[in-house]
Amino acid sequence: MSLFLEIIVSLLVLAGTLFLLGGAVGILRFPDTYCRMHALGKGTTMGIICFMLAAFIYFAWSGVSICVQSLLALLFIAISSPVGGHMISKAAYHYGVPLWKGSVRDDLQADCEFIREDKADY
Amino acid sequence: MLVKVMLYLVLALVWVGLTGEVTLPAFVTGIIIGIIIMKIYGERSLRSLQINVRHIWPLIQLFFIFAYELLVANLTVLVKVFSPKLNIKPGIIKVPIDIEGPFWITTLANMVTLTPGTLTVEVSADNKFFYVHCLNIDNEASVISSIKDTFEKKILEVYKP
Repeated sequence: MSLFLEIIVSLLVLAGTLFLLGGAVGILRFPDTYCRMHALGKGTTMGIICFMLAAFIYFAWSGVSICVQSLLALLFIAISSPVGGHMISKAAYHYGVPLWKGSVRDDLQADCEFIREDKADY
Repeated sequence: MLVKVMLYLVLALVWVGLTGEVTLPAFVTGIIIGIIIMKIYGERSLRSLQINVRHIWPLIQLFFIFAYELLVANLTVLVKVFSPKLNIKPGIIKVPIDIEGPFWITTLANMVTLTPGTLTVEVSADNKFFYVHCLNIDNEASVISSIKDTFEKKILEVYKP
């Protein structure tokens, strides 16, 4: 494996680790469900995309045919992960999970037809 | 017609990729499975997509814009996550949208979710508004214009050339 490709693969893995770490720290630091979904949805998608690209380059260079699968995994994760983030936040809103008290505005409250009334203690 | 043939080819290539053996029999199997899938689901979903050949180049452009915005989004979130003082002003704002059709609305919603500081929480029942959760509302107009000027314009270009 040439030095140049090795450097690129290492950089991709490092960047992926950084993005995943950012996602994890974001889950701990952000105040409510919706803000956490920001860190989770974007950070993990990008981290896994970086990993899969690194795997693709590495295995394509060594001639293992598994490399195409990693590209397909990248594609399907990039399609399905934002849907997951959207559905979790939507379900949370309809279930009545309140926004963080520092939130500036909430346009959905006036237009939303069904929000659970008997709010549990979060 | 051309789109259909390309779809068969793409499905066959996906099959070849998934099985991991780049041989002619695998390719033929992929085409046969693609034809079966298209017989079951294809007609209806192709009609709802309304895609034809001249959409393909704008779709590729859209992909690259999307990749760039995804990278920017991640860097902004990283900066926010690791900044010692959590300076966020979250909130849900209402964004009017002009595009129509379930496929394009889904595409736009997914792109909004993966771009800087925005997350689609809900789509209104008449498909006219997105309710977007923003990490930082400094001014509302810039958030709305960033959605409408980059992605929606590009998507409109794709399906109404």
